[in-house]
Amino acid sequence: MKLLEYAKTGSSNLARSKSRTFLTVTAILVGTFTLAMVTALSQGVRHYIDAQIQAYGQPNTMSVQLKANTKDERRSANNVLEYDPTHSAATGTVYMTDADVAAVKKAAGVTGAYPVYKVNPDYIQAGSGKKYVVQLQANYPTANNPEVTAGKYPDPADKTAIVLPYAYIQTLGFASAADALGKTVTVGLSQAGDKPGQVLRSETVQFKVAAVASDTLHAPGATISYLEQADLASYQTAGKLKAEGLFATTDPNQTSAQTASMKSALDAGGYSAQTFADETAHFNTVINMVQLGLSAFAGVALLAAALGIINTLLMAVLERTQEVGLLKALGMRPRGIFAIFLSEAVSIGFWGGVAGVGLAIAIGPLIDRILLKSVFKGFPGTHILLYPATDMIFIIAGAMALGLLAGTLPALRAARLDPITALRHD
Amino acid sequence: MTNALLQTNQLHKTYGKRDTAYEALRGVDLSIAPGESVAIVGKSGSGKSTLMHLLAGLDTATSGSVKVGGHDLGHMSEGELSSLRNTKFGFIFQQFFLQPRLTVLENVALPLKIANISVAESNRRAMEALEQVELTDKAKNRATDLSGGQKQRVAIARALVAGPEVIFADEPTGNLDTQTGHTVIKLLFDLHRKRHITLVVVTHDADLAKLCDRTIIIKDGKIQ
Repeated sequence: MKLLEYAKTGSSNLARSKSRTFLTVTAILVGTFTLAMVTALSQGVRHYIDAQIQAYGQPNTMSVQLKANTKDERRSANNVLEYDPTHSAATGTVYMTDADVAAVKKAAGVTGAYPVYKVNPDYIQAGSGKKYVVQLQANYPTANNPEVTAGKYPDPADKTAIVLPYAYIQTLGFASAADALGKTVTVGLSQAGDKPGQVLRSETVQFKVAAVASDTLHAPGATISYLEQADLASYQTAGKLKAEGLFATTDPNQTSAQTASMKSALDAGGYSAQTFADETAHFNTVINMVQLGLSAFAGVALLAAALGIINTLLMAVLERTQEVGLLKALGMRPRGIFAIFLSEAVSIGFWGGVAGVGLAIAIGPLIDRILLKSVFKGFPGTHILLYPATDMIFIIAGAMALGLLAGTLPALRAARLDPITALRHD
Repeated sequence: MTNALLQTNQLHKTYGKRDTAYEALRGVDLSIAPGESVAIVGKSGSGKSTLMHLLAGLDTATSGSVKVGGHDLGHMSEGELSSLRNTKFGFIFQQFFLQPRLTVLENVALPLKIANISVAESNRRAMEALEQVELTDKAKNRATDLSGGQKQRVAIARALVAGPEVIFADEPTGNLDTQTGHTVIKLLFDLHRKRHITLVVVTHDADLAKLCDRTIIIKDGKIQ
């Protein structure tokens, strides 16, 4: 008998005791369904968080800080910072200079470096509507732009363009994201004096809404050109620009080894670099732990199901003892008997896997609808859950492997039956 | 007898151990020539079934040897024994042992399926075997739909299908009425003569034993 024949015999034997097979497959289904749902949810949340993080930064970018802020040879033994007119301020924070920008740019793998200037606007306003507090962040020239709900991400050099966060659309009185596109919004800002509440001068700046950013859990600020950001910062500080860090872009074709050597080169130069991957890694660690924890529950379910397979097959061996005796008398080898029962166990695993994964995929849209109405409200896109084909196939293969393992003991028992004793068994 | 097909030498078989040990065979010397028909008779518990099982390689001897065509079964691996039973031996049992889920044709083709012969070839040869027992019209029926006599004829077809040298029949008429029993016996002996198949029959049936070339009487594990 060929392998395929054994598999066919094993599968058709399952149909002999339909309710028993059904129950055993259901037990496997509980485990594989849980695994598939946990995978789909984890993958979905991972993707969602990537989108969230993209509101702050994109792949192939990094933020660069001076290590001097934490560890500095210029500090005295009592941790008092020496005065340096080019680098330091009264607060002790060491600011970055053009020399730092040039130094970072020179590092292998860095394609661009821009000083990050902080702007503290007073309000944002559409037309003559209410004024709302807002934060401004800069749009630097990068290889790829974050997801937008409406419009087109503007050119970083376009000083009149603004990208509004999704949360501001209704707040500012626009009917929809599409409605806001091309409309003018006003940002008010002022230069504060040294005395509390003192305002030295103030101005308003007009921007045209170029795009609406996708909704995120933490609504980030509105995004404007990095050139305009620098101008506004200069206005607020009366020309004394202070950069606490740099925004740098990196080669998108960089290997992880190259990234590591780039970071160590920057480290040697006195800079600490946080890449996009570093930031997402933090979130992914949490998701991985949650996924592992939930998968452990599925694992327990599968373990119980494996005992079910063993039980089912032991009963099948008992029921078919006489048949095994006949097959042996007619010349089937022990390994043939073994293969028949083992293929039954693998079939149970296979169908349990297919049913579990199938059910998880089938109820996916329903779960998505519930999630999008509650936890993930405002998420761009129609589904949260993701079912990567490789993961799903892996789950089915895992269930089959479980069947293989669980089936070994009963199959061995069948293979070792003595033909005469087996034939006399009723 | 050097040209013996089946030969035993001081065959012993003990079941159980120590206190519960039971000696089923106590030194059996036997030789069966190719094409011979032999009846093994004896009371129940005499050891006649045990002798047949040892001859057919379904059980292993405690001591002594069984040779088939000069080859000692004791020196064969389980795989070699399996393929010996598959290709050289045919079996007929009192309880028929047909597979209820399979059709008559599939039941007959079972030994060929085990031997890994293609379905088309298996079916062709199974059909030929069914012709021998005149049951071709029942080929597509479920084995359970047949009468006792028909079931035993299917079992004979199954024993024949692989072209065996020996057919072992264990009480082949035990579950049949006299009339049907006669039909089955006639069929079996016709095939034995026509095809020179060696026949080893374990039976209580005196009529059946009389038809054989030789009758071996077993009593208390020995040949009388």
